[in-house]
Amino acid sequence: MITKTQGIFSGMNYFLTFKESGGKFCDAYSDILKATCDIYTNKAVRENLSETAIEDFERFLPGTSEVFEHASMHGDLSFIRGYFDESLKVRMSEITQEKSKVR
Amino acid sequence: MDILDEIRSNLAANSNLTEEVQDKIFELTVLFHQKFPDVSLEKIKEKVKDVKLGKISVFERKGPVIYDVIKNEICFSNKKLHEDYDANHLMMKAVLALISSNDNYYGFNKDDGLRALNIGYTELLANFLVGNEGICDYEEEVMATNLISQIIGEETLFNAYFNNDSDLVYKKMLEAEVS
Repeated sequence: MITKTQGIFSGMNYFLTFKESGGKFCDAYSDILKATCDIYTNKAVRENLSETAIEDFERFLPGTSEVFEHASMHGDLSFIRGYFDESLKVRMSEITQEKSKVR
Repeated sequence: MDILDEIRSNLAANSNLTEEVQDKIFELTVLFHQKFPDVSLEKIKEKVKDVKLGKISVFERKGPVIYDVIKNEICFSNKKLHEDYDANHLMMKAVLALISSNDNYYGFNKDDGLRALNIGYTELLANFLVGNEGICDYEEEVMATNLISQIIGEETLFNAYFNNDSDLVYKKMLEAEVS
């Protein structure tokens, strides 16, 4: 069984090769980020990561800090996962649109 | 003679490089050393003795600059260099590769297992050192690398990169995984 770690790194390599072959933005990238976010959020709740770290993450995915606050108060990991599931879809869609305009 | 003097001397003796390129490599090495004085410059000291400049084939989409560790060659894509890239940023990435390379790879990209992360981290370091006023082809890799550095710590990536230690990256990521 492939670990999330293996999946993330092989996914990143795949996506890079895809781009170098002339491919444009694809859904594989959102899978990479989703798996990475999954590990990050579990670690963050488990270890009560510093405010600074969560602020950094907030820049990538606005609204994150409120989610962490809620999860910390209620110990509700599934809430974070659900949030990221939807938020990543929106964020990836935004990035795709931005890239389409540039290209 | 201190290490920077030795690097300067080795560059000057390398007839593969123009004086302009020698000066640029030295300038960026000094800048790196000022920011990270504890990172060894032994590798680049040896590499610059015979590092060459080469070309990336027009049929390859890599580039605009890559460092071939095996051939000890900094390769440029002529076609891409006509586009809006920041030459200083590109050369900084080549210098980072020289500083962090062993005989087979640079950074932590052992056996190509962490190629994208390696590129993302090189990009981040180059951004930190000299900025980038041109095109960035690796935005996605930078974004993913940023997230991963939040998970395993920037220090882990830094140590793994300059000690060619891919195992450290895998170990820390696996520790962070929830089973």
